[in-house]
Amino acid sequence: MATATAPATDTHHDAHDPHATNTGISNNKLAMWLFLSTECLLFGALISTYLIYKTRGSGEVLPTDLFDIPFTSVSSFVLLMSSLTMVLALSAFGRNDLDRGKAWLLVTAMLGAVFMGGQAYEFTAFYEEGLGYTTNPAASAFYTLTGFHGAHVSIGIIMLMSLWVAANQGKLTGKNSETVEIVGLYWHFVDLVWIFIFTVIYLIPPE
Amino acid sequence: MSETTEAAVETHDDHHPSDWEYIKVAIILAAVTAAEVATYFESVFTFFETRWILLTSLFTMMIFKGWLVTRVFMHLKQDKPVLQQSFFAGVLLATAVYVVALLAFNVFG
Amino acid sequence: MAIIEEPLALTSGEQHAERPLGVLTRPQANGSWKDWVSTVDHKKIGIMYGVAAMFFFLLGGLEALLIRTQLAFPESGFLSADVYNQIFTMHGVTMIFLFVMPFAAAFANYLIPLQIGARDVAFPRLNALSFWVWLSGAIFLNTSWIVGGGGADCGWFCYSPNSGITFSPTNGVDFYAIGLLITGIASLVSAVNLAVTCLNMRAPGMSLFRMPVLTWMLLVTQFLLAFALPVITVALLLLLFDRQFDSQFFDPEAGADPLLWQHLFWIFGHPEVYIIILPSFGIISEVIPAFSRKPIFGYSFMVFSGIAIGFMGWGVWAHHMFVSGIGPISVFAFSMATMFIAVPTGVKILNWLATMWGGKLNFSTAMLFAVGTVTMFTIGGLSGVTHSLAPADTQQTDTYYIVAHFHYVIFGGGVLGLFAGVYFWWPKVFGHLLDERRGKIHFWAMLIGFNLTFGPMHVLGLQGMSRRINTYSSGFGFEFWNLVATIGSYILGASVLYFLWNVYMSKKDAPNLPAPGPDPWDARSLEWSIPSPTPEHNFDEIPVIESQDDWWFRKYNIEDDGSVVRISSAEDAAQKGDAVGVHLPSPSFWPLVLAIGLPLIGYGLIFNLWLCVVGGLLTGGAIYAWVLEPVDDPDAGAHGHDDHHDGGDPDGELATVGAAGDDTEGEG
Repeated sequence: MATATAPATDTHHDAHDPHATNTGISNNKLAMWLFLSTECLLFGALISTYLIYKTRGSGEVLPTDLFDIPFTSVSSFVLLMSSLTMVLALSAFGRNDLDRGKAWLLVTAMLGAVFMGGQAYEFTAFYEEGLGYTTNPAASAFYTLTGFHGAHVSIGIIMLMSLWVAANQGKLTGKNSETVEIVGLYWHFVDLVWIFIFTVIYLIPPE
Repeated sequence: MSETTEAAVETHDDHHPSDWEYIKVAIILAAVTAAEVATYFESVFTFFETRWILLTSLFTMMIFKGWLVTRVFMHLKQDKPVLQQSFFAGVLLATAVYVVALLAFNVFG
Repeated sequence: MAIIEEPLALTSGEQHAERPLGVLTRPQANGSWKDWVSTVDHKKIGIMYGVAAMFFFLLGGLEALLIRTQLAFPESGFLSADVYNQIFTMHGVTMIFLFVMPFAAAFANYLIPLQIGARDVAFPRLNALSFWVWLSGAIFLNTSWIVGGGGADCGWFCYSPNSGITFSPTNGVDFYAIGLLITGIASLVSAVNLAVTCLNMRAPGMSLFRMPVLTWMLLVTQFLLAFALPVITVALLLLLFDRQFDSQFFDPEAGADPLLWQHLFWIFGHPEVYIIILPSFGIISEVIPAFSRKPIFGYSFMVFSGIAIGFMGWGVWAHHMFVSGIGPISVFAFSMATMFIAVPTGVKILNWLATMWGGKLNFSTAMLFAVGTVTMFTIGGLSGVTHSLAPADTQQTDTYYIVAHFHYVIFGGGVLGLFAGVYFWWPKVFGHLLDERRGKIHFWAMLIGFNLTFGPMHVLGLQGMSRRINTYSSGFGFEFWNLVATIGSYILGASVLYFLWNVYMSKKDAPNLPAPGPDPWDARSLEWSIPSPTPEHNFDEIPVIESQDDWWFRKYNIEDDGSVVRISSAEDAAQKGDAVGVHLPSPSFWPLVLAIGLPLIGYGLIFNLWLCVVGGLLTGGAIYAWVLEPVDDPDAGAHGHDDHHDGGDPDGELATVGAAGDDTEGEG
């Protein structure tokens, strides 16, 4: 087992290349991907909790009674399109087209904000229909799940706006477009979670 | 795994799809979303009243959308396989563990 | 959490010798407290983890002695039932989250970069953050004794609905939930950081399958942590929301299912067992070869069985719940899975034995602890397999048999292994050996005390003595073995104090003894190729790795006839530690500031929401200050950036902008 072999491959690191890692992926990007994979377990637990509790209302109103599918479809569509604008922002930064990159960042953040507005409206409407956070296990699970997703979107908006400010200050250019890519990964992941939630929570009707 | 990825360090392929390709993918995503929403209108598309057809179509469309987003928007198509492996490790682990947990709660009837 | 920092330049010292950089103006080991609170050096962080964990070991040990004192005699009134509940809960929580995990983290922090030939971890500031956040959570958790109306009283597993306000009206459980959330953030950040380090920061030629077994086991542990912690995070948040915001997750009267908590807790809880045990397995996989004068037997089997344990650890959680009514199919499936997970563990035990077989054994203290680990863990493992038989488990559940089993696993398998590591790496970390004679006394006292404490619990459990009950009646035959266990626990406690005495005396004697040199044990992995104690910059020159056990092959050659010939002394082969101008990241105060904000948010949730605002501002402000602070201190060296950025782009600051939010997100 311990026979000395020639140096594995040509892995002489160039210290001047920030990508000179064993995997060829920057630490930052690898860390973000690992983080996102752990987030799957987080959202999985919240989604499972809702699925276990979705019919548990002891005679009171349930979230499934109140879903407004056309409305949620629109806000889902908005979030989906924000993924497009995010990737267009990255593409623009990659070309060092800063003006366009900044504009797409702003549009992405705004689409995210529209989605959050939709969630605020949905929560308010549900509350007025008698579904409070403490009404029953189904309600608690629904608000916690979608609220968690909303918190993720909000953090994404803060990150996008921080990028936008940095780009305006000239700190964000084509050279560090990987930063945009990494924030983008987060943003797409949040969209991905919503794709799942939209189907599993909203579209699948109760039996 | 490491040997192959280390060998690949030299080949820098940071070349991402063009904007037009992104837009095409977004159009496909929008179309699939529209199809998903269509299942809600069972009175129009009556075959969705059959539950297994409904569930199969919904899950197929959902997985297709997720696949497109990760492959194209998140660049897993071009990126090093280790990213895809670590991410899908999380996805598959979460799916397996929670499906077993839900089975224990008889969620699937 | 994905705070973005630049990879450390893996350059040799010589290349930068003409351009001394920031690090040299950094305070270096001048003893100032600022050195420690602002450090981003993985070695100092590792030491701080170790010291703090040892403090909590004493605290948890004190709680254990209180438990044993109460149970020494039947119908004792030493502790009330209520206090007893708090003590055994906090004993478990402290030992698992505040001792074993951070003590393993101490080894992970200190040794991973050294064993893979790196100058630091992938994200040095995040590493500091992990430590401070963990410490703030640990302190927060224990302040419930003072301001929370007592400790949590629901057991470390904190089953609902016992954890609800109805049955646990003090704030103890709130402190439990928030404290573990905070320490969970620390562990998650640390897990991602160290996993990236293992994957990305290896020296040239150090392919994954040339990494030492310890680094492999720690890598598997980081993945387990990364995937398990989000689950307990959700469970704790649901519990906290129930208690603070009246949500209905665990209230059976409202239709909630108490089993939800049990599932979530054990989906985390069983991988947690392997999070505790795998670092110890890794440590003894380094110690046993060194003192057997043989390479580890079946390296790839060791690695793959570790990975297999990591995977299978996810499929056995419900064996903690056999009596909760999960149904015959679940019981059957989880029984089978539990039996199978014994296989990779057995492979490991076999390989350790085979490593020792035919070796020139040297029973140093570290080796004694390692052999103790193997034997004690085997006992714990065997009693564990008996739980996979659901009918037998039904008899044993909630008896002292279970207590005996998991202490043989966690103390016998985990803690003894960690002590093996303490004796083994002490000279590398502190530059002097721990006294061997006292060490051996420590070992035997600990082993005897441990077996006297937990061995009798097998008998008590099979006799039917319930755990978690504050007393027992006389006349059931419990008296004798309880008294033996209590005497054993005092011997165990004394052995720990004797260890501290050994630490103190060894330090005092060190100046009169010869220095241990870089490689006192004639060991095999890279950390022994550099001076003791480890220089600030680790490696003068990043080594190019040509084989497994590369360092050993720099000292020895295997001739054609299979005989081993020494080709170099360790002193000659080792690096000198005298490189100058090595580029290292600059220290930062922001990890500490950020960490102080989190417990304030915690207190705010419990007592006054305005405190949340203060804590939130502190945390948020620290995140932005962190982002705007260059990774390299610009005052410390004018050319800091150019060092590893063509064109000196300022991305160190900028890149972090994006990730800033992730940290806040960890707070839930």
